[in-house]
Amino acid sequence: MLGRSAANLFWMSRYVERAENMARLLEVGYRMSLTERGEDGTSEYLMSMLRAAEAEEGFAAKHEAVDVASVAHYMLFDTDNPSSVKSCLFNARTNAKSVRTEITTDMWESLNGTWLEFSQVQPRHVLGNKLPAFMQSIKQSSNQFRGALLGTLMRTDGFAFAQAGGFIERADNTARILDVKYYVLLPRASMVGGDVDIQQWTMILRAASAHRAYRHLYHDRYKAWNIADFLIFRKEMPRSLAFCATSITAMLGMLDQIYGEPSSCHDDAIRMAQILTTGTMDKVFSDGLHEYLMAFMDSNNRLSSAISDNYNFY
Amino acid sequence: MRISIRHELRYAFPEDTARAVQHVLMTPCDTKGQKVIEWSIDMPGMESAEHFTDAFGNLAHLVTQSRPENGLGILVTGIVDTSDASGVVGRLDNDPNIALFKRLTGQTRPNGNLVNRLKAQQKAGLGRVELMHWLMNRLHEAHEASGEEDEEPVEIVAEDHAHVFVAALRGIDIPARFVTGYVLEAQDKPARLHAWAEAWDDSLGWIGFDPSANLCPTEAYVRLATGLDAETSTPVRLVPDLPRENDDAIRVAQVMMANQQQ
Amino acid sequence: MSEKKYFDEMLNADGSVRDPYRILADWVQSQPKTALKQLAADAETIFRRLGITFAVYGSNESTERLIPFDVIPRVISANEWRRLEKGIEQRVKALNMFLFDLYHNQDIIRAGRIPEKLIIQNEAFCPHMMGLNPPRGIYSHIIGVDIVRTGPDDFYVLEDNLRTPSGVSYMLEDREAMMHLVPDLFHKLKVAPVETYPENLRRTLESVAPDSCAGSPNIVVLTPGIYNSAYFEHSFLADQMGATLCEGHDLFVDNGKVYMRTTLGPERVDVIYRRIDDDFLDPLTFRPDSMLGVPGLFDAYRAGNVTLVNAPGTGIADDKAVYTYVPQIIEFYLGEKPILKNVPTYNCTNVDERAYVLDNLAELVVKEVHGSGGYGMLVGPASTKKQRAEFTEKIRARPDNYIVQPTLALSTCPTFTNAGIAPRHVDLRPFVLVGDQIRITPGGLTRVALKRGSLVVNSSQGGGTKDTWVLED
Repeated sequence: MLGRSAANLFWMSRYVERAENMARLLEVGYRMSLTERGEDGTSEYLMSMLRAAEAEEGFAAKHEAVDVASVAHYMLFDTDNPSSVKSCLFNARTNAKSVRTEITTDMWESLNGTWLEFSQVQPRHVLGNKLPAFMQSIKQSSNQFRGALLGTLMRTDGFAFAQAGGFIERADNTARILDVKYYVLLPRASMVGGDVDIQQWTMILRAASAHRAYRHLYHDRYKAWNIADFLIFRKEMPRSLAFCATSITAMLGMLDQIYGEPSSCHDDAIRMAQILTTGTMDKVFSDGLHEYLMAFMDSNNRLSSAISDNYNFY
Repeated sequence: MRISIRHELRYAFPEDTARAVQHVLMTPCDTKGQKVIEWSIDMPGMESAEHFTDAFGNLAHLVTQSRPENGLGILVTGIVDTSDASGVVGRLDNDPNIALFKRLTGQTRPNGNLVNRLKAQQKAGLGRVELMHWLMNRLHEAHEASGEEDEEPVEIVAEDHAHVFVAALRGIDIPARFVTGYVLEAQDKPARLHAWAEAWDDSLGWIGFDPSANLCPTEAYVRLATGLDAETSTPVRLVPDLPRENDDAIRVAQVMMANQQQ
Repeated sequence: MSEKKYFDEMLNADGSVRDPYRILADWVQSQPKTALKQLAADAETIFRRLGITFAVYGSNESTERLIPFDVIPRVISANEWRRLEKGIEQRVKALNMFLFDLYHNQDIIRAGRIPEKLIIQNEAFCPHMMGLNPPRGIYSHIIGVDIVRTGPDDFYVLEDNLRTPSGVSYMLEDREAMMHLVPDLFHKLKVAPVETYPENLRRTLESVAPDSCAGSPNIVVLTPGIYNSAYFEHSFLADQMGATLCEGHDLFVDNGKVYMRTTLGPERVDVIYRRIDDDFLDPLTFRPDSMLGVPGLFDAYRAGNVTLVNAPGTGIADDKAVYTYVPQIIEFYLGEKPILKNVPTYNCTNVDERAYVLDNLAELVVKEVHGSGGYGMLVGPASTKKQRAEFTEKIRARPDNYIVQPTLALSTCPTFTNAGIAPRHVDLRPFVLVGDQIRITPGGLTRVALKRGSLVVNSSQGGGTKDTWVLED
């Protein structure tokens, strides 16, 4: 397979996943902001959400007030924002079009349909009360695409690249969603682990579609400690860092097998997964959640570059 | 005369050049006036370069380097025995269909006035080879009269003259072509890269004319390559396959020396 | 405009149904109007579902447009097709021999059968091809001949399209759609298959691999990229052939050989079905500003290490000014009379002919010598006074830039329109593959001018397509 095609598949999945996760991030920020008694409409939560999405600078350059309408518009529709849902869907589709021969018709139709629908949406029609439903529909489109990928794509190298890209992006985003919480807590660092912030943690779980699963696993009320454990270490949880790292490792292992030769990026992935399968919450909270997450995002990024070097992406 | 040649070229690539590709026309062939005794082109990638005859009858090399070091150095060395054949090159083994050299190109658009004067001379009964000489003399006169001599670098003047000469002959349906090579102007001066022209005569074959010097190539000339114009016969054509954003110009430096040994 | 004077593919002048259409005509008549309407709607759904199909790319927002498809097929009898096939084969054989000759000895010029100037000074003549020997001596491997019909036995070749003809994916998708829509008709009629095209294309490309290529040749399709209007066709053909779809920067030349950049490193490429124009193929030899091409590609080709399909420089043989010489070309190389007719063409550089042309512009068609796609063209009978005045001036200024032909009475074919079934003008583009043998796919692409009375079938000018059924004996 062409190195460029592998890159297109990898990034196609990354962008679909990113579109979904931007919607998830916005959802967290949005819900949290509803609980705020904001002065002049500016929301601390939305600000920290923008920071987690690495979008605060770009946003600040265009808007003064951090209110729901401007933030939602920036995160969903603004093509000046390279991570807006619209930019992500456009990039996902462009990547897919470049590898039209490597993906199935179902995958293309799903992605193309999503793009055509999305590009016809008038922002003013969805920015009010319809916002939660609209964010939901973005997640559903992503689910539909993933379904098409899992259900129709041949299990060849292309599949492994597409999947690896998706999991790398998801891991990055889960870390970011957790980090939103860190930003929220920043002024009151002593409260970390306490009960005061349970409501906010709940929203984070919701953003990961995991609030019900949590109950089944922990048989307990929401506790910060457990929730961080859930999203970082639990292998059963398909959006946890550990799950993503294990899945990336599996995909790179699959590539080694298909190509009949070991790769150094597979070793990198094994190391990253090991840290997550042997880590403990004690250590995370003693080192600081934010620092832990930053270190993870960094190694995740390096893994992405290693894959791209290893397989001649360009 | 035995001429020994040593020609060095250097190209500076931008630092992050991923691939460099060169089309090299620097291999002379034997003609009536020259016999190649020794010849070598030394440059990175030459060992594995592909070679073939190009459309104009030259031996061409396609040379590639991936991740070239900051610069490309080419060293051409060789020994050629020359004799004065009054400019007659004759027929060459690899010559393509001669009619090809009637084709006008962007660099060889005939000057209408010159073409008309040539036609008038033709009507007046001037023979084909005399006509070529007549044209060479007119170009030289015009150049003397214009007094541009000191302003333009000598290579540019030579190239322009060769183009005008070639274009005018093509304008009256005589095949003519652009030639590159070396010329040794004086014993104590280094030779330089030069450009002149050749025109076709059915009985003599190709005849060389150097309109910028107003003479037919002598034993001081070593003929390198030929083409429709400067573009198609240039000694080194290259593409640095630059990363997209980068469009730094390539700087070219030439150092050349030649000695004469009897 | 009276529609009577045109030959109709289905109906004789007296209104009776022509033989090859008998079963189809019965079927059409038995369909209630709503049924055809439903079929047309279903067809559109199928095209959308089959993928992006005939999408028009170009803009980023890219609302994908379908090229209109008509559900009533065009039918050609086995006998008619045999003759067409022979004529096409004769033509492509002669034109390939012509190309070989032009890039070698130029015997045809020496024999005085075609003017030297017309060739040597022609923009479409590629000097870099001189003396090059392509595998099997073939220059144009993939050809789409444009043919029009004016009577039961009158077929004219309009253009030979020897460069990079497009439209074959439409032919394949049209058939695919018809098999879904009217399977019962395929039971009743023996329609020659077109589905073999991708397989034949692959065989053709394999058969022209360089001599040095041992084993199964590695074939790629080279596309200008996703913003090209024919990108879908490029990816479709690559997919159908199991070839890799490459863009220029996916390929590179090393040591005189062509490689593609794969996840496992460089992989040698043997045959390139390129859908990039000559000028953009290789910045080392052609346009230096080309971002689409591969530096060194032409030299690698010249050295015999890769095959380019079609060869650069084939445009000289389908140049509109050279077109008028095709009958002489056929006679010169094959010693045969042409089977298919050329459209009579006026030469505006000839004073008498130009005078005739300027006096009769309202009845003539004027084409730019280097134009294509129906642009830069004047269709006399449909033109305004102002347009004719413009062209009069243009022709006077540059007579060599135009060829002029009589307006052909293009045949009509029943077509489903908003107003019910009505005759619309059609042409035909059969697709030809030239390799170890000449393979012509039965039928081809029928283009139909959907506007009432219009003679311009180009999709860029409001044309649509029809499936084309060649009946088997």
